[in-house]
Amino acid sequence: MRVTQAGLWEMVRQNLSTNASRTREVEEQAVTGLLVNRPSDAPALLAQVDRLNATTLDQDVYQQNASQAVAQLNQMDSELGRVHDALTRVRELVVQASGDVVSAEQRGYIALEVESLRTTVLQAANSNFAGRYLFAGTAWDTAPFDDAGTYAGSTDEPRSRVGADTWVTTGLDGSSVFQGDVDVLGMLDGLVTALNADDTASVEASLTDLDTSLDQVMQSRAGVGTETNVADDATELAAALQSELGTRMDDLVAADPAETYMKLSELRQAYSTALQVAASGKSQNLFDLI
Amino acid sequence: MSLFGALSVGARGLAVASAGIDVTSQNVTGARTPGFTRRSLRTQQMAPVQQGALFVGQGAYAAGVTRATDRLLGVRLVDATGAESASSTLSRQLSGVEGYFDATNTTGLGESLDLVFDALGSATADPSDASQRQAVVHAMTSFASTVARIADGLQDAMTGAEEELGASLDAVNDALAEVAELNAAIGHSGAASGPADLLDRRDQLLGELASSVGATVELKADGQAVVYVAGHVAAGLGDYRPLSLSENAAGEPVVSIGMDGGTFDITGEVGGAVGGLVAARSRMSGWADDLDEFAFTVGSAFNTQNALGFDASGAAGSDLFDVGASASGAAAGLTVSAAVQDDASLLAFAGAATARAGDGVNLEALLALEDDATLFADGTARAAASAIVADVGTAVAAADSDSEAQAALLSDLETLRESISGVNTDEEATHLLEYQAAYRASAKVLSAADELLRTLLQLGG
Repeated sequence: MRVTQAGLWEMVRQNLSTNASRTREVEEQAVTGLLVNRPSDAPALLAQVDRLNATTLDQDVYQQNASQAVAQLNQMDSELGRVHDALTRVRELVVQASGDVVSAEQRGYIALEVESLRTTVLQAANSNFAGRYLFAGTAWDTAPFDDAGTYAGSTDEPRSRVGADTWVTTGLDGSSVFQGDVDVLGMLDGLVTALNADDTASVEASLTDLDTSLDQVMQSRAGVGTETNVADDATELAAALQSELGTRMDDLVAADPAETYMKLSELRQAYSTALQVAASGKSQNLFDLI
Repeated sequence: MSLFGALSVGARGLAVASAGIDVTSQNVTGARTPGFTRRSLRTQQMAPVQQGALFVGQGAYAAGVTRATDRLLGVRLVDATGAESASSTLSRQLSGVEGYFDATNTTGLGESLDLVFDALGSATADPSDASQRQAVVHAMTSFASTVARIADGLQDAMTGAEEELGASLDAVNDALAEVAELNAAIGHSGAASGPADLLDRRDQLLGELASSVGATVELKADGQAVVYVAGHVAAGLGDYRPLSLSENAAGEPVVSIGMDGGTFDITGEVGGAVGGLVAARSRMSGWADDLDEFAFTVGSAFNTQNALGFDASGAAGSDLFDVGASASGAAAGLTVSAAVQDDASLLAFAGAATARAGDGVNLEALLALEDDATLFADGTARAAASAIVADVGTAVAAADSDSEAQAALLSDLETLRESISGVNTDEEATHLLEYQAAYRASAKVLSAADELLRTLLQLGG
C-alpha cells in the first residue's frame, strides 16, 4: 500500500484522539470511583442499580423511624413500669389497710398515699415524648386523661414504617391500657373513698381489681416490649441490608481503584509515547537532499 | 529526419518536461488540500512522418493530466461518509440529553421520586409534624422540578436539532446548486475526465452532501455527476431540486425535496447528518412523550389518593400536583400546587375528617403508591422511571457503538483513498528529478541540433 505523509499524520491524530478519549473515560472512573457514570455506560444494569439505590435510600428511613420508635417505646415501657410500681405499692397498702390492727386514722393516712400514687399513675398516663402523648392513640397532640380520669384520646394507635412490610406501634390507646378490664384511675378513686370512709370490706374487695389492673399494665408492657424488639430487629435488618446493598452496588458499579490506576498509567504511558512519535514524525524528506 | 525536425522534437521534450514539473508542483502544493487528488502527466508519442522508407518519430507531447482515483472506492466512501455522519450526529445529539437522565445520584428521575416516598415514609413516624410535612412538600417540589427540568432539556434539544436541520438544509441547497454549476462547467470543458481542479471541487462537495444528507452519486460517462438524495435526483446538469424543512400537524419536522412544482416528503429516507438529526429528534420526542405520560400518571395518582384523605384541619384533600388535563405537556408543566407549597398542612395524611394528629391512614395509602404495580405497563412508578432512563441509556450506547463502528469503517476507506489519491512528497521529489533530467536532456538535444546547424551555415559561408 502506498503511504503518504498526510495519511501518516492523520493516523497519528486519530490515535492521539482515541487515546485521549479513553484516558478521559478512565480518569472519570478514577475521580468518581464508578464504572457507571451515565445511563449509556451500562444500560442493562440500570434497572438493578435503580432498585438498589431505591432500597438503600429506604433503609435510611427505616433506621431513622425505628430509632425514633425505640426511643418512644422505651419511654412507654418506663412509664408503664412507673404505673406498675405505683399499683404494687397500692396493693401493699390495701393489704395493710385490710387488717383489723389499722385504725381509721391510719387508713386516712394510707388514703393520702394512695391519692398521691393515683397522681403518679395519672402523670404516667399523660406522659409525653417530645410533646407526643404516648397513651393518646393517634390523638397524640393533647393530654388523653383529665383529672377525673376521663379518656379524650383516640382508640386508633399510630404506627411507623420500619421495614418494607414492617410497622411498629409508636403510641398506645390509653383507654385500653388504663380502662381495659378495670378503670385504674376510677378504681383508685373508689379506694381512696373507701379508705377515708373506713370501709374495710370495700378496701379488701379492691384487691381483685388491683390484681387485674396489674395484669392489664403488665400485658401492655409486654406489648411494648414486643414492639421494641420488632423495632430493634428492623434497625439491625436495615443496617445489615444497607451494608449488603452497598457491597452489591459496589460489585455492580464501583471501579476497582487498583485496576483503574493501572489502566490510567498504561493509557498515560501510551499517550506520552504517541506524543513522542508525533513530535519525531518530521522524518527526513527527499526534498531535503536535492 | 532534418535538423529542424530534431529542433522541434527537442522543443516538445522541453514542453513535456516542463508540464511534468508543473504537475509535480501542483501535487506538492495540493498535498494538504482537502479533497485534492494526486495528478500524473499523461504523455503520448506523436504520429511518425514517413520519409521514403523511414517512419520518422516527431517526439512526445503532454496528452493530459490523469487524477489517481478509484471510482468504486469513491462510491463506497460516499456511502460510508453518509452512514458515519448519520450515526455520529445521532450519537452526539442523544449524548447531549443523556445527562438529564442521570441515574447515579439524587438528581435523576427515579431518585427524586424515591425521595418523595422516603419523605412520606419518614412522616409515618409523626404525620402531624410540620417539619415532616414540609420535607414531603420539599421532596415533591424537587421531584416536579426534576421532571420539568428533563422535559425542558428535551424540548431545548429538540428545538436545537430543528434549528440545526434548517441550517444544514441551507448548506445542502448551496452545495447542490454548486454541484449543478460544476456539472455544467465540466460538461462544457468537453473532456470526459474534466478539468482536475473542478473535479476535485465537485468531489469535495459530493463528500459534503454525502455527509450532510447521505447523498449518493452516479457518475455518467460524460463526466456528469448525478446526485441522489433519498433515492430522488437532487442535482444534475446545471439544475438542482432544493430541500426544504416544514412541520407536520404534530409539530414534527418534515424534510421535503422540490418536485414538479411541489414537494415530496423524504423525512423517513434522508440520511447523513440530516437523517441523524431527524432520528435524534424523533427519539427525543418519544422520550418526551414517555416523560409526559409518567408525569401525568404519577401526579394524577397522588392527586387522586390525596383527595381521599383529610388534611390537618379536617378538610378533604386537594390536588398535590398541577398536572393539567391530559398527558400532553404534563412533564414540562409539572409543579406542586401553589396552595400545598405555601401550606404543608394541606397534605391529606388523615383517613378521617376528625383529623386526629397522628392519623396517618391516608399517608400510608399515599406511601403504598410506591408499590402500586398497576400504575404503568412497566409496573410501579419507579420501574417506569427506570425504564425511561434505561431506554435512553440503551439508545445512547447503541448510537455510540454504531458511530464508532461507522467511524472505523470510514477511517479504513479514507486510508485506502489516501493511499490511492494522496500525495507522497518523496514520490513527487523523484518525479521532479526525473523531469529535471528530462528537461536538461531535451535542452541538450536542442543545443546539439543548434550546433550542427551552425556548422552547416559556416560551411555555406
